[in-house]
Amino acid sequence: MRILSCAALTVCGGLLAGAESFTEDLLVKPLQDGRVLLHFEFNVQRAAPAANESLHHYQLFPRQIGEISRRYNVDELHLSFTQGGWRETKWGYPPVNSQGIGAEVRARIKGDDAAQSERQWKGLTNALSGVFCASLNFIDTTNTDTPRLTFADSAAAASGVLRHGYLPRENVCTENLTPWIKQLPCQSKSGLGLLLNPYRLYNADFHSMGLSLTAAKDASGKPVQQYKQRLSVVVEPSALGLGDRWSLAELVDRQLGAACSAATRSTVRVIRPGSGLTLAPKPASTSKLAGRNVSVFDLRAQPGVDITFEFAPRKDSGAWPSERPLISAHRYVTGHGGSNGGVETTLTNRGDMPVHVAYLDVLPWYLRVYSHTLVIQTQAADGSWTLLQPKESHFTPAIDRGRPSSMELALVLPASSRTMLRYNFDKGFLKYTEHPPDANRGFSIGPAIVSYQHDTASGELPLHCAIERALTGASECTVQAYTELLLASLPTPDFSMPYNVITFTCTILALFFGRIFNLLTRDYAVLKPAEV
Amino acid sequence: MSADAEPPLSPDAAIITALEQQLLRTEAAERRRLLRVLLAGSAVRLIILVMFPGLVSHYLSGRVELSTPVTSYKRLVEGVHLSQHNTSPYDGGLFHQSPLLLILFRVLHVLPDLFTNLAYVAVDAMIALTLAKLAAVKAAKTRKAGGVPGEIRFVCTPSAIATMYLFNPLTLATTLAKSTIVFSHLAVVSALYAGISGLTNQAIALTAVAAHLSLYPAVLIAPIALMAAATSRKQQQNRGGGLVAGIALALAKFALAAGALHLLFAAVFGTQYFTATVDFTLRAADLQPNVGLFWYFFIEIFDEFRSFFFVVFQLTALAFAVPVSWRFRNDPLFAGTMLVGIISALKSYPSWGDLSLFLGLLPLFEELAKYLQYAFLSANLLMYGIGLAPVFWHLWIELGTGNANFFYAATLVYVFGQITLLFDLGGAKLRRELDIHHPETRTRTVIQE
Repeated sequence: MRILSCAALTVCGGLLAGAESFTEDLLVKPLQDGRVLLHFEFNVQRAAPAANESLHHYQLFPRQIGEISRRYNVDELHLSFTQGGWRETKWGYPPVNSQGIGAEVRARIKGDDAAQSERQWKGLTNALSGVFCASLNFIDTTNTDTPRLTFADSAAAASGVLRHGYLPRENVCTENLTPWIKQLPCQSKSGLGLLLNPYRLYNADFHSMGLSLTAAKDASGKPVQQYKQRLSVVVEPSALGLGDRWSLAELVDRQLGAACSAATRSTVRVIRPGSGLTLAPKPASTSKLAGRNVSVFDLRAQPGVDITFEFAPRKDSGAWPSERPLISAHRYVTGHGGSNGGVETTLTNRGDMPVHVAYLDVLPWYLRVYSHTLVIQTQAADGSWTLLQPKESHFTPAIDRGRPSSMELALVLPASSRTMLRYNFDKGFLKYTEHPPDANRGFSIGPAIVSYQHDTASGELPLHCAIERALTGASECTVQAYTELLLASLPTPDFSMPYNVITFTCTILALFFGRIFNLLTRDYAVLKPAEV
Repeated sequence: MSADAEPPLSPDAAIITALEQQLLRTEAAERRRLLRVLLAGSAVRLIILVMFPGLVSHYLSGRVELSTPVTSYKRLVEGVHLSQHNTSPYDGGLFHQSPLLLILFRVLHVLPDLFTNLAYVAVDAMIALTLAKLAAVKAAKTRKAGGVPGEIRFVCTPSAIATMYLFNPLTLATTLAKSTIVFSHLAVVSALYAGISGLTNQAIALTAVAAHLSLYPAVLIAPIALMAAATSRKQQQNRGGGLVAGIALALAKFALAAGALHLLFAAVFGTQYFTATVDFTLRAADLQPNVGLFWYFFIEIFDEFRSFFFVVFQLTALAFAVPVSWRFRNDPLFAGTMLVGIISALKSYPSWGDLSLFLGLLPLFEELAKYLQYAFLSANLLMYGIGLAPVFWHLWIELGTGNANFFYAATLVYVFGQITLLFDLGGAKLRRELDIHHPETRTRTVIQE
């Protein structure tokens, strides 16, 4: 009897397991300045569960994420932790679409009830905070906005509001990596998870770890849920003491072992520069990605392979094609003094066609933005300045301690131009308890996001679009460029003075009260000579 | 100074000196003088506004001593801009001014910049003109009323009071900063003039408008109600029950006027406007520094006591309206001036403009000048407070070498100077009334008991 039920369960498990699939890929890309980009991608795909299903079976798909998304009615979720700046002039397009420093949470919550949706967003951020040991519970209404234009590609036919919360000061460390690794089907015991060494991952020039949960349709049109975990680091071999010849095991200080048995595909792909790189052993296959040659090592065929990289001494950078992104954005704060300032953003369009971009800038409520001071000027290739009018603009003013101010603009950047966007703000004054302990450091302000559709017909695709197209065949390419953070230092009161202030002010009030009360209730009377 | 054919002077009229007689005889010359003063004041403002727009918009309009979250011109422009782009300006934390101003400036912003400047200049000129008319009414009353035997009077001429208002640096700075408090001042001064001239309904309507423009002038309904009752009694020539009925009628009319305006605005802008203007002023939600007592106190107060101290502060500012008006019920104009002074010292977002209105009304009571005991003290306190505040602000905010306490101390001195002037003025009024009713005491020592 027991054997029969066991057998039945195994068969059922087998049938259900067939609905989930897992692939893992590691992209290794040597960069122009000697550094190396390592981009891990772990994809789990499963049939989308029906809304009223009462039995939920999880095998490869992490149960944490499945239960959180079901409980908080989440249609789409993106979370990323990033540290370090992506140097686009040297490294080209980033492998991920989210390079804003800090923690970024983006979710689309189904449903029309605004209050319930608000509660579910709060529950979602708190649940994610617990799962990833990060202080994502600090995401509340004061740093959440609802962009309409910027992440619009994922709108499609979805209902519900897209919420975007940002914590610029959030650090990422091993504490966040460990639960992330635990969600992988093979964790760090086999497959590419073996290479996730925190000592090397957090000693990097750029580190970005994230996950995204999206709804899609598979080849036969059935709705599926895709859960993608990705981690990108830029390491410098010369800083680790490695010369022109090093192996992957030396780079990450971990050995590859058995392949992950749950993975249907487990590969290491090396994007080769034009020339000057010799790989050993011979790759299983070669392909092309974004116009570059890619050597593919199949870990299921060659388990435990240790790939050696040998670079020819570099005489010139001719072998390295220039990979500057089409649009780049930088944002600065202007002005001096503690009472007001200005924000200036520079958007550069390096292409020779006009590009439609969506610009999103969210400032917290204590930087009071004056939208009537917004001026957009563009400098064409010949050096002349003209005023640029946005095609569409949405400005949501901030509510004190309620919501941030959000400026969304749809601009058309002319070909080969530099556009400057500037506006003024006044600095607000916070209550005594609202200043953080290191009050004179100031507040970090999240980045502005410039989002555009990259023309897929032109040859050079951004890396993440090329990966998407290679792995899932997606045809659209949305690129987001993030600016730097800002640091706004607000004038501080004297923190040692609350009691003194209370007593001084109340003394003045008491002087007023006493004297006026005397005036009102007392009459003049003549002083008789005997009383002198 | 020869006497023409005149009616024989009564003993009371003997107090009027020959100097004043000459002035009264030359009323036409006085009117010409007033006109010249108004033109000169307007010309100075217009020249500076037109020729130095940079000074005005970059330097003056950002000064916290002149513009507050409820009167700032920059915020007004932002509110108008938002309303032109289909966003409710009250749906944000920036704009807290009355819908009346929003409507007025939406119209003005369609016209060229010059018209906005002309509007501010015209408002200042009208305030000065109304003060001059108040001075004329007061002078007429003084000729009829009695005085203290043997005192020398220099009745404030209309042109003198207009000069003192228009060329007061505080008034000049407030207008050049385009602070919208000037509109509230116009309503207040016009209400006082209408009340004292017997135009009761106009006075009550103007008080309701002033209350909507800036919340605190609502307390002026107390002296205006007294003026209304006095007017109705004079018209009906009877006593008994007239006082209470007159006051009640005035209060009812005020409630009606203010309520009608509120309903109109709520219909157009929704009740959000109430939260953004009245509720905001009462809660002092924006803690931007100003020359008042509220901001630093409510930055530093602990959260548990916040509501309690709001109630305390606002009560202190508002609860003295009725007692002060009743104490000086024989001279409602003086009660109104005292209330303007109390508002200027204790409102949640004061500025130098409020003090300029109080100082503008003071010359009406020049007979009290010789009774002031603390004139030197209050003058010094005010000068120190006004002079040091910009210096300490610069040290704190621009240079970063001082801290908030410096500016806060200058604020305390400024408010204490105003309070000293207030109780000194009240004491002087009471002393003078004692002297009028009991002239034999004017050389004796008196105490309060």
